[in-house]
Amino acid sequence: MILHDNDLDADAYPVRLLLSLLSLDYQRVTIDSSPWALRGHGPRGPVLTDGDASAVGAAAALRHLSARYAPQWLPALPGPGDSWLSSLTDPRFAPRQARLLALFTTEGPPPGLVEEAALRLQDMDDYLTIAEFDGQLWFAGERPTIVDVAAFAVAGLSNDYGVELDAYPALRRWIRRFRAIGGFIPMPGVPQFY
Amino acid sequence: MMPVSLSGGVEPGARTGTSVGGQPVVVWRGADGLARAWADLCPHRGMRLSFGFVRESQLTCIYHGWSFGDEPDSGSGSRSGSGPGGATEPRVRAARCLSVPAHPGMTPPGKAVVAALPVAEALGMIWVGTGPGDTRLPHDAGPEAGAQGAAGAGDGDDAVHAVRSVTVPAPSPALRAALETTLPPGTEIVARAGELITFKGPDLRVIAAIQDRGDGTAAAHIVTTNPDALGRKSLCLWAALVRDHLAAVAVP
Repeated sequence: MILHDNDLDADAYPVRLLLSLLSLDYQRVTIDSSPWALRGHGPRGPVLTDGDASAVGAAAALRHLSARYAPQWLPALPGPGDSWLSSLTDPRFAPRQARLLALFTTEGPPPGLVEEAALRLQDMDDYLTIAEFDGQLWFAGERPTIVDVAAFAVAGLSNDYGVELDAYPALRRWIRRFRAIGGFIPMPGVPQFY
Repeated sequence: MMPVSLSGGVEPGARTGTSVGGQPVVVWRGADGLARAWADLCPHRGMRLSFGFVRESQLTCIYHGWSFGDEPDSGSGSRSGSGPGGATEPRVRAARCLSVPAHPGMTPPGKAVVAALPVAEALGMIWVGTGPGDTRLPHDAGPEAGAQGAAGAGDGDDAVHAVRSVTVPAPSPALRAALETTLPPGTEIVARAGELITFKGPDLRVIAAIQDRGDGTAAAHIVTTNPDALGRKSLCLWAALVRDHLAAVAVP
């Protein structure tokens, strides 16, 4: 299995994270993915090649890995799970745009984008707040799934564009739960110690 | 004192930043279940301690690993209360640096202290003093409230259950006004005491505690005497509606 990615690429992070959570062996090939993603054309990482199959983008790679190696990581609640997964891995999702522009441009995010990103984090907190009352501690069921993996790559990097999670208690509780899963790995911007 | 979080918002081993009257404060809970609140500033290089991490009952700065905890003689081993998150009286635990990883054999200098603020847990919330001498809880949140029932409920039901916290991009008077005009369905206001607003319905009370963050934003920490999950979920939606309404009118 070969993963084309970049250390600083938040799109590839969920794929590395799931590979680590599942203890799967793979080779990494570093590509210059972030500048490409910024320009909005060309190959967009990550690209996962697994024998005869290949997956482009985080959502496809997460689905491929869980379907082939760990079906228990597929969303138990496909409705909200699929909808969260497509939002969280959409390049236009405000938190992901805000991070990319904050880290890789001199101008930074345009006015309003960071505020919009904070509102999307607030949506995640609202969802988890209500879910906790139903005993649902994860985004798509009673177990962590690939939706949580994708969500961590969003919520765990909010400091990159200057948003803290102080106002989002349910999201903070979920982050602590997620970080406690065996095989968890950080990326640059995600503190090693928490 | 100022409410800064529901008790469950800061679990054992967790830390968060907040703001008390415009001052950045780190709120954290040790493995011993005790909540602490300190100025959010490492005395070494000024890093925010709320970026750090809790191990056992120390908070470590993420920058150079200086670890801080209660003064050894501040009596952290004894506590009044009833387990993690249970009610505790207002008190200040002086805090200082306990270890510097670059100099493992060294006794940390006595001037390496952090400014500790009074902390209490009451009504299922963490309260922090606005200064070292502020240990005043709203009357209805004080220790006598526990004996009489939540916030003057006085009807034998002294347990409160978490609803949620909401933070709004509006100052605290606007949040207070919005909560008081958009009542929880089927309730009326029966008491106002300092930061507290108490709403009463046929068989439940809802208590909102307003946190003035001092930076043009405010938070409401909400609990209820109703243990029912469905009822609490609907109160969550009410709180989110109030928040979203305020956010909509706050946008220039």
